[in-house]
Amino acid sequence: MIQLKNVTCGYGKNPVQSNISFDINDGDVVMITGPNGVGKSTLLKVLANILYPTSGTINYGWPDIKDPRQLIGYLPDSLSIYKSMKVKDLAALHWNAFGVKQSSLPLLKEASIDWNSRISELSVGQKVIFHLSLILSTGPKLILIDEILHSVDPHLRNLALETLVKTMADRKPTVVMVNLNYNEVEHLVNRVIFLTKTGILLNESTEYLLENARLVVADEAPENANVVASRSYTGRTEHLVLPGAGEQMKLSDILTMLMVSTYKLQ
Amino acid sequence: MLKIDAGSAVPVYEQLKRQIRLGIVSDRYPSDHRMPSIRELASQLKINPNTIAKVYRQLEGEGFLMSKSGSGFFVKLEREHMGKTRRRLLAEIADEFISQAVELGFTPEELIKTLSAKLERISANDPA
Repeated sequence: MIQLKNVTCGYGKNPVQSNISFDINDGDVVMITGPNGVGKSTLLKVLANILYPTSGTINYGWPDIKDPRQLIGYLPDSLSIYKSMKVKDLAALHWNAFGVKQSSLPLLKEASIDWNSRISELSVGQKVIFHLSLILSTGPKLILIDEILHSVDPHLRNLALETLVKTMADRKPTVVMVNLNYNEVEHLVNRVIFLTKTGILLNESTEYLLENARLVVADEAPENANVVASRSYTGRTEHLVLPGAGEQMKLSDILTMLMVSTYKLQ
Repeated sequence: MLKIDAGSAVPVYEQLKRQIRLGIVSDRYPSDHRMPSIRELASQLKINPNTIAKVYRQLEGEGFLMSKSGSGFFVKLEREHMGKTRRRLLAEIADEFISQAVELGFTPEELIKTLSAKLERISANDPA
């Protein structure tokens, strides 16, 4: 289990998030979402152990591992990989650093990536695929993926997601992704953390959300129910109750409604 | 081919269970047919492998599938149980139909009338 306790993080003097705590179970597939600018990517960097919290602790639960980054595969939102290197040289460098004996990446052929081309010659989508397959090749226990898949064309995105799911089935890693495109991953994740400027608004399993989140259409917010979001939409007013009685909702609709409601509050 | 209706509020595992049960009872998946592996089906549908595992385990519990260690899940439906299973599926469809109709405020008499009218029209169009 990964435990974040009272983590405050950010750059310089202004913290992006203050005093947040949550646990992630081994094998969980977590989506961190929320409006732009609330620190989702920053939090992912903290989880990746490349940005240290200004206060608070993060415990990965790997007592025998000196540097947790050995077991972490992190796909950032901007890929700062050495442009002038060749694909094969960068792969060799990576495997050497991780002490992995490998000589090929199966995904490259499917993404039409030439083993001998330079990184600068690859398209954005090809770079993402290359980076992802490199990360997966070292068998990480924790996989962190920022929104980057959004910039990849549908064919390569499909390929990337298929590969990720196969890895999930084969090795049961813990996966945390920052995501705004709910439809694509709503059946992949089993926990959602909704982040706002003032901290975690919601941290629930998707099972709990699907069983308990309900939509109520009424002018006035229902009494005696926990209303977590409201919006006016095509001439009717909707309320999201958790728990409560009403229409069943899809995960993507729950999150979209939370997002709309959060913006209204700002 | 199994697929997910993204617009449906029916949970994914429930959608898959129904499709597989229907496939087995309608003989699209005959006895001893090897089901796609959890890994293959999950990656094809982009859903959590645990969801597929849950579906297969539940269908195993219901007597539709059988797991053989190391080689996956296989269809297991004995001919003599077929009739019973088909009737059970029909009962489930009927339950859903009734509960939706009741929600819309129809009376049992109105349901029966609508069903009979529909069925008459179907048999009139289909001389077989």
